[in-house]
Amino acid sequence: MNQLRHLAIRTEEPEKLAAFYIDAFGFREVRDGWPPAQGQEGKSYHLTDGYFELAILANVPNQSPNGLYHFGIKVDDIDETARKLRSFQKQLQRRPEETSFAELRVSDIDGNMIDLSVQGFLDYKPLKSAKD
Amino acid sequence: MAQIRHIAISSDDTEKLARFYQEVFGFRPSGPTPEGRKTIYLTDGHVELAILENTNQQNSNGLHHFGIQTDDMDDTVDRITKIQPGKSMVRPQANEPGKAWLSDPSGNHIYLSKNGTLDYQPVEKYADRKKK
Repeated sequence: MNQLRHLAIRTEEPEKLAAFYIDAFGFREVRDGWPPAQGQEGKSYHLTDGYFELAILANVPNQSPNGLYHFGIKVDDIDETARKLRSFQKQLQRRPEETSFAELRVSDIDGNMIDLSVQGFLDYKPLKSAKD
Repeated sequence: MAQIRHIAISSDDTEKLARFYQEVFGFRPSGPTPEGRKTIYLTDGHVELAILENTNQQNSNGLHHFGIQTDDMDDTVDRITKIQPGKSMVRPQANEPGKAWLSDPSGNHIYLSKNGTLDYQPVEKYADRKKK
């Protein structure tokens, strides 16, 4: 079953924004398994409510406007999803094998960016044991 | 406990975009479209994807806001007020005490809700209800 599991926000002040979500809502930082993204400057934060990941991405070089950036869907079968997507759009570009994040970045028909991943955006270990 | 349970996208063709998410990802309707509106509510079973009508072009198309469900509305509102003193929060008290609209420190819109944006019935139950 395909699941919405990820939302990414770009900001110039990731530390301040992450602190807001931690203090206001009790979200926790996913501490392990997150090597820095390629070419990324500044620290990004990956928070979770235990099920859903909220990524707060550093927008230090101002690559794009601050704000809601993309969301992510964990898919069961990326080839089958890609096949269905091709009926709506002709070109899909897979990310390099070694990418540490979503395997495929696509857009919906309105141009909203969606990250697709079979691995998912969290490691799915209960947070308590992941922390331990 | 606070959980991200809602993502909202503005679109000027909600039916077309909803069809995309239903056909590619298998998301299912989560609730009825309000009378006279074109907003469509889908779900993967846990998180709601609201496709908001933007037929009058009130907003940009694209990611619009996200929703957080909280067990304790008053405590969450108190925390946010302390973190962001003087920043206004829309909290309709009279008929909707369990709802609030606010912005995070970067200006991203959050819909805060006690009951959540889904009724947490399995989606099949909504379908059953519709048949009756």
